Amino acid sequence: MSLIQRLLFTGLLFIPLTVSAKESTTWDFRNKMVPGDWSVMQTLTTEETEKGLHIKSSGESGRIYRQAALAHDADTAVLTFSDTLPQELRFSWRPSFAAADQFVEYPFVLTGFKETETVVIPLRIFKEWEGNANIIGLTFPGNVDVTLQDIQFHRYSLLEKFLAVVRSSLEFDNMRNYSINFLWGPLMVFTPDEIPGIFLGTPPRAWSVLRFAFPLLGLVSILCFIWWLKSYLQYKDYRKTGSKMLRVFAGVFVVLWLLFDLRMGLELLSYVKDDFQNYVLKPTGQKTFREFLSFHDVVAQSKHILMRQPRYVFLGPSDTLFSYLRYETYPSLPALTTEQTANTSILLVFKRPDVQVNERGTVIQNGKIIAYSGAVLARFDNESFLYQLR
Amino acid sequence: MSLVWLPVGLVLPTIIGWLALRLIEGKVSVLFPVERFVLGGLIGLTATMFVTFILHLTLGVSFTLIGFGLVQVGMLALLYVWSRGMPMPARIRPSIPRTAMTRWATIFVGILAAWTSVKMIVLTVNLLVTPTVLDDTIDNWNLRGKLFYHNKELTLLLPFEEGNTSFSGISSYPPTVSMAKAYLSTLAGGWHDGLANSIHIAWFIALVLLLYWSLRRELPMLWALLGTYILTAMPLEMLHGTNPYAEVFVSVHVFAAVSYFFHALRADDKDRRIRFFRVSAAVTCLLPFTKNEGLIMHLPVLMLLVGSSLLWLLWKKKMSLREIVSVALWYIIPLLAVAIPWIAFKYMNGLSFGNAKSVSGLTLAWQPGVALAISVMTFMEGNWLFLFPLLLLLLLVHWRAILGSPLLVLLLYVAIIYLGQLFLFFFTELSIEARMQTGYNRGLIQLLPIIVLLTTLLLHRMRRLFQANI
Repeated sequence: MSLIQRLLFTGLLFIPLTVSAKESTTWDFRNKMVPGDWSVMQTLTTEETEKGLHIKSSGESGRIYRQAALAHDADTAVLTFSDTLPQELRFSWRPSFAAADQFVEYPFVLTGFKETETVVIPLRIFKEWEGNANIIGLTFPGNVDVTLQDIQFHRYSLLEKFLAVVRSSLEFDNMRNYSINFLWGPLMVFTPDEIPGIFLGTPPRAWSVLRFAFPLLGLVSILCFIWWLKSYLQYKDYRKTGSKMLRVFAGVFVVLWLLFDLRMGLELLSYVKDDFQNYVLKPTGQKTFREFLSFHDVVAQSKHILMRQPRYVFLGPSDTLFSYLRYETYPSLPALTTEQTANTSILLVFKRPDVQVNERGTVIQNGKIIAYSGAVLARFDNESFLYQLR
Repeated sequence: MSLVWLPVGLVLPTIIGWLALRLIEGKVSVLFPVERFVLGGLIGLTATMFVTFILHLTLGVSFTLIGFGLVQVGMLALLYVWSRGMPMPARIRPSIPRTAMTRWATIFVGILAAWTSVKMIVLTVNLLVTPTVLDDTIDNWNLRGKLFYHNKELTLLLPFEEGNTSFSGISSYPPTVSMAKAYLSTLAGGWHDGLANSIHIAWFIALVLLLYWSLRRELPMLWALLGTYILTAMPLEMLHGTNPYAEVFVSVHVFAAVSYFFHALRADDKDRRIRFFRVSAAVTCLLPFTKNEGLIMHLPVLMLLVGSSLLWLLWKKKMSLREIVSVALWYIIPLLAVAIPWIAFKYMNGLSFGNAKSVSGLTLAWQPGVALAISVMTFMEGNWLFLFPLLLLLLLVHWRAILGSPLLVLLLYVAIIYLGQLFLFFFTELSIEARMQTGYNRGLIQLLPIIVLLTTLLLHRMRRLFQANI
């Protein structure tokens, strides 16, 4: 067989990979539709709405489920929810080998406060997932208030999976506070659905690319050794071969090193690109910084007022922001509640939908008045403002 | 504009350190001119902060422009008076290995140098223009610096804390990093995040240059550049070097102390050996005043190795008993001058001796999950590229050569500290630092320059295998 014939033959082998493309099934709950025959446990109440199936419970756990009856195997399930609140749910399925009341459950969290929120379940990574299932559903561990928009099941071809591996290994993490302790490095997933959220889990549900790099180096070293051994056993110039094989191994190692360096270096530079795009080059009022959203922008605009008094009240979503304010406005210091400091007249509220000011200038938190009268000095968004008591 | 106060603020400490090194070297010059300048800046800043700390506690010298200035001018005057009575060494260029670089090697190294420079510059600019957000920076290094700056005095309490010391254990850390930030802000007349953070870049550049000159003393320029590239190519090292954390600050002191000790053992004549020992001693004495690990982890191991090496040199008749005693005193006297006041201060204020967490109350029990976490962090993440597999491979190939050479002290230093840390992670509740990936890699950052020095020297030996016919 000539070289051209060999190449043609090899090329033919790849044809099935390219013709066998993605297959999808969608269960769409929008426009008051319910796809298929669903069972709902009594602890739950459901309502068909334009935005999807609205599911509620009052404290007790419950499950909705149906016969899977998928026409194809699935690699991922992609669930989309509308108008989300923070809560934990579980994707559930019953494998063919399980008893009638046994479900495998995959917990996931909705971060909440989004118009639509999508969750990707990488089904293939579970040994209990057989490509398909008898029953598929959702389990709700406790209080739940959620609108399920649709569930999609995707199956990808080998070529699509290969491309997903390549693309995902070039995906970069964002600079986060944990990055000073470790960098996940190049990760790979096997479906395009998983790529956008590849770094979201801790630890991520993905493989390190180094799982392939080390075996590759091992394989190269074994091949080099075999080559050297062959020349040794054949009484050829095995010394020269040994030196040559060392160079081959070193060459592969250097190439992998440089690729890894390039990949990680670009990730570090991408942190700077993000910071410049979102913070440094943005005008005041539009700046966001890493996972802190607009917090630093808000503080920069409020700092001169906050620092007029030794104490001010800060109502925010986390302690980390409190530590930051303590540092940023020192010697003026924040307090977490109005009770902590009697002499303050300044209140900074950041990303607190539960704290609102009414038309009379009264600040109300979950129905409780925390400041009777005053004025909003600056409003940054619907959930963030700077307020002065009268 | 405030950044201009960084070079201004480093002038006096650098002259002080430079002058001190000149005096320490005596008649025999062992440092390269640039190296002396860089090392002078490093030890000058740490030493002036230490003296300011002592005079603050004893004489009430405040953290003001006058306070910082008086200390530095006073130290400079003392060194000047001392140096007048002593003959300055002739300008002797230490011998350096030279080999011609091929065109391709020059291009290759040039590309790597350009790539590394781009990363360093871009990340540095980012540090200077973005908010300070990292946890230990806003809870410790910068916060304490800001407290010192505003209050003009040392304080062991953080805002909202009561009693004598911080309940978080943060006041047990030496105040050097925070004092340096307060000093620069005092010069600038205001607290600026960019200026306060810029000092970390200075420490990182000092580390890179000291590694280069350390390698250059042993290897041709190409190899020295290659070693410097290896250090800066480590993603986590680059991130630490360009962020306001204290690990690089510790590591540059540790590296200087250990590398000059190594060069002392490598030195071909007695005079040079003694000078290298003295330079190493000058940095070693500052280790207790860097971070808690400097006192409880790095110092004991270094002193153990220095002591053993001195005995070995005596046994091999490479140094006389008198010279050995002289070198030992060079280590011991300055060290006691720094360590005794600092330890006394810690005892008097009930400060712990661990890394924020006290090591005295630890209980011993096997901690599951640590082995997996450590192997993932060392080999399967993006922190260290392929450095550790490379090092293991080199150790396997060259173990015999290491045993009979001063490389052994580099290996022992790294091994003892690394295994000591592993012991703490595997058998104490500090295991959480490994499992949560918060402490293990930082320990490696402190050792990394020494690991890279060792790796590059072994890699250079490896080239002989490529040339020889096996």
